[in-house]
Parts: sequence; structure tokens; C-alpha cells
Amino acid sequence: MNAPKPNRIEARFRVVRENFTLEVDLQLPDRGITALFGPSGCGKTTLLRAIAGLDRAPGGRLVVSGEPWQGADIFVPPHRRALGYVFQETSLFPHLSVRRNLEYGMKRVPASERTLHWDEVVDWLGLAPLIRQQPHQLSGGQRQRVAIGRALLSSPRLLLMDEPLAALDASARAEILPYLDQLHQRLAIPVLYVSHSVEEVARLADHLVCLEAGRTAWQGAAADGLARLGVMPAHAARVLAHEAGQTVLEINGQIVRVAGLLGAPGAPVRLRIDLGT
Amino acid sequence: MIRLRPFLFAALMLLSGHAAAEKFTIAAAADLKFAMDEIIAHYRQDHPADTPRVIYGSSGKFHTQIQRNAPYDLYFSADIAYPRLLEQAGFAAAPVRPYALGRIVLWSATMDASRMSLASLADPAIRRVAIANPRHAPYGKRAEEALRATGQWDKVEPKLVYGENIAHTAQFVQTGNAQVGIIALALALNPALSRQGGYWLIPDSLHEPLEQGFIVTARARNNAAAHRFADYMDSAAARAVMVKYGFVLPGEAGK
Amino acid sequence: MMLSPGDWQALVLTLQLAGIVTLILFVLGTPIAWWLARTQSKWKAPVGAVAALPLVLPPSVLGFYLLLMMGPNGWVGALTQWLGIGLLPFTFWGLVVASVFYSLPFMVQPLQSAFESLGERTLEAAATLRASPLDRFYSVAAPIALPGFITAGILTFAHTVGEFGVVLMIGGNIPGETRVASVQIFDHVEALQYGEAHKLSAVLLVFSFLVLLALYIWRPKALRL
Repeated sequence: MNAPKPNRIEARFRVVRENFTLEVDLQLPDRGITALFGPSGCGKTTLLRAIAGLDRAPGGRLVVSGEPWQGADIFVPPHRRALGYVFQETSLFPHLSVRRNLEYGMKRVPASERTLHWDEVVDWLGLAPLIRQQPHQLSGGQRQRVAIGRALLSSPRLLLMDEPLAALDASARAEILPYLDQLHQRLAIPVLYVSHSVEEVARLADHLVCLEAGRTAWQGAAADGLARLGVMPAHAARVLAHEAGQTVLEINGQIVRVAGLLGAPGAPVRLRIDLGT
Repeated sequence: MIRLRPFLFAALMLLSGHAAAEKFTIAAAADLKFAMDEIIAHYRQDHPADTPRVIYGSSGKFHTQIQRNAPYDLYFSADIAYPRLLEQAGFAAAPVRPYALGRIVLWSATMDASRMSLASLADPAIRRVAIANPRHAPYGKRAEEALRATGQWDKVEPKLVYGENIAHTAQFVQTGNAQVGIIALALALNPALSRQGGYWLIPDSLHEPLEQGFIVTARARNNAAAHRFADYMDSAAARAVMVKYGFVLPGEAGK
Repeated sequence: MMLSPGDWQALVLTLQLAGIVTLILFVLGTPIAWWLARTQSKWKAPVGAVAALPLVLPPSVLGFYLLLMMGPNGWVGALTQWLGIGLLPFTFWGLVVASVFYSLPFMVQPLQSAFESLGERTLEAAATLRASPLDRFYSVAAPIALPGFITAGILTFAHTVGEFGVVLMIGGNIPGETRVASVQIFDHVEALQYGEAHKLSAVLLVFSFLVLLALYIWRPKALRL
């Protein structure tokens, strides 16, 4: 076995479940968004929860950026791991306001150790108008944004997202995706993003792990993976201007015009070119 | 043609036999438990067609219930005052009949009560003394009277614990929670208690007599079996049982 | 008010008993309810059944067995004597101990319900936000379960106020020590003093009603039993 590379995430788990056995031995990148992709019941949530330590998989091994979180003699409980977790069903604390929800994790991290700060997170996720409200007053999409903000404000070293959009309706999903689009730019920490949606993976992922019946079917760069899935990759582009009903985009140094007004001038977007018939 | 006469004759026999043998319910004070069970057993041997039923409890409670039409045909009270009240209020079928004089004793399950007297209760080794609640239990009232009569009340009162009825009081002593209790002689004579410890009879000069009386209730006015049982209490067999259980019969001298 | 000093004493004693028992049961009952709500252990069912036993035992039966156990021949009695406490029957603290047993299900069951309805997610979320188990309990579980605490407290308090059979068996009816309101009312009835019984019962009833009313006005959701 190779010596662990210091800046990777190493995860080795074997978890026996009713319908399958999760058996993985993965080295994941420690930056960018890694999607854990597969059909329902393939073990992706099981893997994510094992990485979080929410389910204790005996005999598992997990090393994050050189720090062992689980091993032969060691199991760091979730509350001592510097991670953030966004659940599929929003789990905001109903008895606390949005502000207090956001502050919850932050307060439990000493000021000297904080890497993400209030203003930047609130600003990025557009949370300022929601601060004074109570969770039950928010829409589904707003709640998930608060949940992401809350997780980030605990200054995690790793962000885990378990199908965060799956419980939202189409309009809520559309509202929140633009915020997620910018994850690569905004965050210096790795994100593990579980999804069964090809669209989400195509739009957001840098790296892809495909799971099938508890095993890794494929792993690699998202662009390659998507091609394998029959999906064209997304390219990083920027909207330059709107002109005469068209959007002018700059992509890889080239200028491209597309019909319709998409995005806002100056905003980064991802462009997928579908060559299908 | 159906032979009517034998049929009518048989029906009459059935009806009259049925009417003569009746059910009746006795409400009896707690201290009568063992004595009454035995008397009823004898009664049933003599009158196999009758079906008596007995309920034991607090004399005061039965008194209240009878005024509210409780289904009792006979009422044996530990304090004759209660049935007298009922008679005055029209709830009795006939005048009250005394059936016994109760006696109180000192009893202990852990110490030898037969060597004690009321003065012994002041001994600091005796931490708790159980008596029945003097407010409403006749045996408790007599216990208080006896303690006052011998000048022991002030010394003993701080140590007193009160049982709701005389059986409850005996329980405190049986379980050892109270070292000594003042209970009914009838209870102390029962093998269950006499096996655990002896008793000392408290002189009846120290308290008002515990006159115990019973009535046939107004409800049972026409219940022939109830009246039969009432009369049976005067029989030699019944009287012998009462004496055996430490009750002094009315008209006979106390010890 | 027109109550006699004896009645007042009984009333005050009752409130003291109910108050102390409720406080003790908050401390004892909360961890039991928490464990029952969240454990997967095979002991869950038997422990739950034992905690619910006082509900089905006739109070005077329970009182009788406590009398035996706490007496000089019982193991609890032996323990208390060895500890230098003496014997528990006929004492206020004996009533406290008995009432703690007797009212236990009234504290545990509403709390267990409230904890169960928390679900896993909320507490897992707190764990991922750096909250230790104790921290999670105080900052998330307890505040959300507050209506359950209130219900449990009221039921326990009210149940202890109304307690009769157990107190009768082991109390000894000592004024100022074990003569609580329920026994006092019973004695009035037994002594055929119905007027006194009515008065004391009325006071008890009015007091309980006012407490419940105040809570219903202030925190209506808490009382959805």
C-alpha cells in the first residue's frame, strides 16, 4: 500500500447493510467538489455518514489531510471532527432564529481557529434578509441555504452534502443552484457532494466517484466521467454582455454568442455543449 | 289432557323452597374478620340453603354507605354508637342488639408484650407506638382514653403513629415498623399474630366500654335469612366462637 | 380562609411533598427517559416495563410492600439503618421515597415521548456543528422538548398531590410529618365531618385548577397531552 499522500482524503470502509455491502477504498482530492454519484440504494449516503462518523463502521479507516479520524485504535466522534454536513431534509433548529442557527457551530469554534467569517458567508449565500426570521417562516430553498451557511460558519475542513437539493421542488432548486455554482471559487476546502442527479453532477462536480451496489464503479475527473455517462462536460465561462437578445460569453479565451439572455454580465457560469442529435 | 294438579304442586314446591332460602350480605367491622368467618361457616352447616356473603371494613364507612342505600342486610359495628344512629334515622328493621364487648391489648412482634404495661411505653427503647386513629376508629379512641387515664398520654403521644383501622394498625406492628401497638384482643388471639408475639390485656377500667352492636337493616326487613342469621348470633355455637376470639359477651363480666 | 390549622398544615405538607418529589424526579427521570427514547439495546423493553409498573400496581399494595421493604426486616430498611438514617416509614422522607417510585411513570413517559419525537437529524446536525453529547442535550434537545418537561412536571406534581393509598400505608398519619391533605380529607369523611371534608377538597381543587389555568394561558402548546 502506498504511503498516504498528505493532502488527500483517504476513506476505506466496509459496511454491511440489508440490501448491499458497502466496500470502498478511496483516495479523494482535498480540493474542489467531488460528487458521489449513483442510483438509489447504492451506498452513497452510507459512505457519507461513515465519513462523518455519524454511523460508526467498525474496522474503517479515514484520514483527512493527514489527520486520522478513524483507524484501528481511533475513532474521533463527529463533534470533534472539523466537518460540515448538510442533510437532505433541512435540519435547522426550530427553537432558534436564523441568526442563532448560523451562530451555533461558529460559537463552538475558538475565534483563532475560524477560517470562514460571518460577513463573507452571509454575503455569499444572500442570507442577510433572512437573519431575523424563524426557520418555519422560510421556504425550502432558503432553509437549505441557511443550513449550508451554518455548516460553513463552523469553519470545517471538509464539507459533506447529502443530496441537498433532492427534497426541494424545481423552483427552489433553481433558486439555490446559482449559489452552489460558485462553490469551487469560494471555498478552499473539499466538498463531497452526494447526488443521483446527472444535472447536478454535470453542473457542479470537479471530480466524480460512481458507486454501484456498494462498490466504486469508476473514479476520475468529472469531465471524463460525464462523458462516460453520456453527458457532455461543463466548461467554465463568463458572461461578458447582453446584446440584442443574445448573451456574449467568453470561454477558454474564445468568444461565443448564444441566443437568449442568460446570467448576469460579469458573472461566471458553466456551459455545457450538447452535441447530441 | 295435561295433568294440571301435579304440575301445579311441583311448581309450588319449587317456588316455596326457593323463597325460603335467600342470599344476604353482612357488613362487618375489621376486628371481626376471623370470628365472623368461623360463625358463618357454622351457620352454613346448619342452613345449607342460605348463601351469606360478608364484607369487612371500617364501621364508620359502612354507617355512611347504609344511609346511601348500600346493599347490606346486616351491619356489625365495632362501636354501637353507629348502628344506634342508623336506628334513630330509620335505617334499621329492628332495635340494635349488642353482640360483644371489645377489649384492647398491648402487642408486639419484636418484644415480649405480655410482660409490659402501659407505663412501659414511655421506655426510650420503644420508638414508635401504633394505635388506630382516635378520630374515627373505636379501638383508637379507647387506646387514647387508656393512655390518658394512666397519665402516659403526654409521654407517648410524640411516638404515636395512626392506622386507619385496627387491622392497618396491626400491620404496622407486624412489620416491625412500630415496636408496640394497641390493638384488638380479637386480632392478637389469631394464630397469625399470636405466633409472632404475646399480648398484655389492658384493664377495661381504663377506658369506656367498647360496646359492639349490630342491626338488620331496613332494606332486609323482609329477608327471612337475614333474620335467621341475626337470631343465630344468640346460639351457643356462635357465642362460643366469639368467646374463643376474645370477645366478651354482653352481660358477662370482663376480666 | 376558614380552614383549621390542622387542614392548613396538611395542605402545606402536601405541596412540600409534591414539590420535592417533582424536583427529584426531574433529576432522576430525565436520564431514564432519554435512554429509553434513544437506546437500541435489548434492555429497552424490560426497563420500560419496570418504569411503567407503578401505573398498574394498586397504590395500597405498593404501599404495603414498601412498608415491608423499608421496615427493619426489609433490605431497604437494613440499608437505611446501616447508613445511619434510621427507618423510613412514618417519616416525611419515607413518603418522598415512596412517592418517587409511585410517580415515576408520570415523569418518564411524557419525557420519553418528547425525546422520541426529536428524531435523529436535529441532534446529528448539532453533532456536526461541534456540539458534544451533553452540549447537544442542553442546547438542542432540552429546549425543543420543553413542552414535554412541563407536561411531565405537572402530571408528576398533580399525581403526588392526589396520592392516597401509598401514603396511607406507610405514613402513619402523623400531623406535620405525614398527614397530607388527601389523608386529612379521608379522616374528615371517616369521622363523619363532611363540612370539613368539603372545605379542604374545595381548596385543593381550586388550587390545582388555577395552576393548570395559568399554564394553559401562558403556554398552551405545552399542555397538548
